[in-house]
Amino acid sequence: MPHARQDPSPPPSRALLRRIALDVLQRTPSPREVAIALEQPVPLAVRRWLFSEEAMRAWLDEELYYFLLLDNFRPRTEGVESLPRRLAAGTATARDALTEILLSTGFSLRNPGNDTFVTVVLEQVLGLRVQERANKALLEAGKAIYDGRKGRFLDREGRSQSDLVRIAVAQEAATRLLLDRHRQRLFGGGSGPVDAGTVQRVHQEPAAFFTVLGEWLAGPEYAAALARRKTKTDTQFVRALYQDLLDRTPTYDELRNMRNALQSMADAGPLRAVLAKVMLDSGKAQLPELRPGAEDAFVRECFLRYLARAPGQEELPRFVQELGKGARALHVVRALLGSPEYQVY
Amino acid sequence: MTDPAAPLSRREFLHRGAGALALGGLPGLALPLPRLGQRTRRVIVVAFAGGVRTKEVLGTPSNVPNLMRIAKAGVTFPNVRCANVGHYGAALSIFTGNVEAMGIRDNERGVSPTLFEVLRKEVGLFANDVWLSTASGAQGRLFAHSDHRDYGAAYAAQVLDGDGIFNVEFQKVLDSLGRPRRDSDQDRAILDRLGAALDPRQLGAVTGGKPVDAAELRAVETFILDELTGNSSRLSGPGAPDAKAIRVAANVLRVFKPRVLGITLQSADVAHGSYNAYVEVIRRNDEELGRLWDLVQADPELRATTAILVLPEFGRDADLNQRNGLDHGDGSAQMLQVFLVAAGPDFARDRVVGKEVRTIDVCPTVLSLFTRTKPAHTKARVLQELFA
Repeated sequence: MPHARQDPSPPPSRALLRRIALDVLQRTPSPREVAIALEQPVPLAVRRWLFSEEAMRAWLDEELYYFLLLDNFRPRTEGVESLPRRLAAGTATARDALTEILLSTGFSLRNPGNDTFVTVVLEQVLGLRVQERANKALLEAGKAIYDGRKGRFLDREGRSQSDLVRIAVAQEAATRLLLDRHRQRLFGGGSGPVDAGTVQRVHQEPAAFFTVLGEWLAGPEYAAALARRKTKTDTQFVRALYQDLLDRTPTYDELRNMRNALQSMADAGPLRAVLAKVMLDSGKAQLPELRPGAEDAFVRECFLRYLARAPGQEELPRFVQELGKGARALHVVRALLGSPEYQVY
Repeated sequence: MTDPAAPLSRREFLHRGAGALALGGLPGLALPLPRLGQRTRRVIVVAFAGGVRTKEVLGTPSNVPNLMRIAKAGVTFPNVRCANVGHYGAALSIFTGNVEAMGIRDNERGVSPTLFEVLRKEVGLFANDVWLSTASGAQGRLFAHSDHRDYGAAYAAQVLDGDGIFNVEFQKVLDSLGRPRRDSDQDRAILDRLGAALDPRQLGAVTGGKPVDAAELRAVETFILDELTGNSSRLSGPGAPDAKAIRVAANVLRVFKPRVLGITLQSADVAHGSYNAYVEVIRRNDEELGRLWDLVQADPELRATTAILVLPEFGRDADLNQRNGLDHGDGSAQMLQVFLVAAGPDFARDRVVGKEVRTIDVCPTVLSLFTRTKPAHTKARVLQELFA
């Protein structure tokens, strides 16, 4: 039967909550978290999630991914490992975190030699293109300081790898790029650069970085952006899958191994479907209960939990009908998880 | 034998190489090209990347006996100019026909369309006709398509990073959860009906109105499941990522018989810290290339229709560094002058072309095997010297 022509329902508040959770915690919220957050104003939910250690760990992982510090290059130092706790407690700032990351052994191993190291700092921290003639002298000055020779770099004096990093991270351009990257992550590519006032505010007061993120997340522009769906990153997909099916977050190794596998494909859709099937076939998945005579409640619960929306008027009876014709709970869940709609949020 | 007067399916029509002329409206300049690619229907482009000098390859044939076999069957260009724009940008340049100045840790796609996108859009190749097997980690899948507004994800290559998916760690995850069971016909029928019951307007908002090819997705899913239980997962040791990339590419070639198969390697960059390991990687990659070449030669259809081109993205420094390794940044001839070896049914045999060419010339050359329309986005030239 053809579907009635009607516009998709306006996004319910649980869709907004799911967007916030995926952006902040890199996973879908649990049913219990949703139930609590639905009773609260949005800024409170944002605060509760954003300033948690879990959110800071997710943020740190995103930063390490940005610098491609993965697998063997992932920094294991106490300084980096303790960052989520210190960021959540407010005893470290995003600028501190960047500095720790760039001074880690993992970063040095990933970027061996003066040319590579300084190039990556200029490109990834300050957003410069070293191939541009105007930046050639800067690259050479940075390389000299990296090698331990005294020199000037971005109008500051230095003579070590550590000096180089600290000078770069303290630049206003570094603050701007950091904010721009995260604004783009939250709002998408067309959001435009961060305004100069916000850049100045975070540059002067680095601790305000996460406060600014919170203001963005609780603001009307973010809610309006819900109309434009975003594709889940591989990290978000894996963490959401664990949350939705196993009611837990993956260990770092589980996440890393699944994410690396997903990243091996340009279109990870088929492999995502394989992973969902593996988890469902494992017998460990915790699915909504399907009770005889309550098929419509089961279908409704599945739609809300996995797609953050109620089933449409045409969808509900057709799913219930299939359950009456031999479909099992696993089939319903797999159909939803394998849907392109589950790939976005 | 096929009746030449019989009507052709769209796929067969395109396979015969006539499609591009009829498609019309192509963004480019129609050139009076010679009769290129009359017999070639498949191309394998191997970016022998990670920074590889000619000295350890053509200069030391004992390191690469299999590549020398390919050279004997085809054409060697010992004087290929490249640009030092980092591994990512330089390897990407091979596939776009432009020098791509990307950041070396860039996690962004390029702006010029890749040959994969051009072939899918302009020649009408299907997703499973165009594959890329890579060992280039997180950046590897970025080769699949550019951010060019006229091309992009809709025309991407299928990409597999062998080391990302077929590794021991991922096997452990699967083992901890248990192997998935095969779907029965009834399962598939139920899933198809449930999938069809989902509101198409909701799905349309997600896919941008693009239809989902369920059969194609299922074919790739099956391939992945088969590979996960195959031998590719068990390769280990120095250069294993490259070896997996070539091994997976061979399996893709056997299963899907794609029209274009890209392979990008990376392990040679171990040279920064160890010259010996670098040479070992070259030897191992040559061994895997030999297997791939033998696979092509053993299949009559593939042998009659498949061309292969092998080249690094750039070389390495002339002198060893303090760690007895080789960096890449001295601007020497060993860094900026590499080689290309190519063999195929339309190429000359046992020919050496001393004239200077460029790594970016590979892109229009490959395109010329499928279409007579030169793409507008590249200024590189077709390597006419290659053809018999």
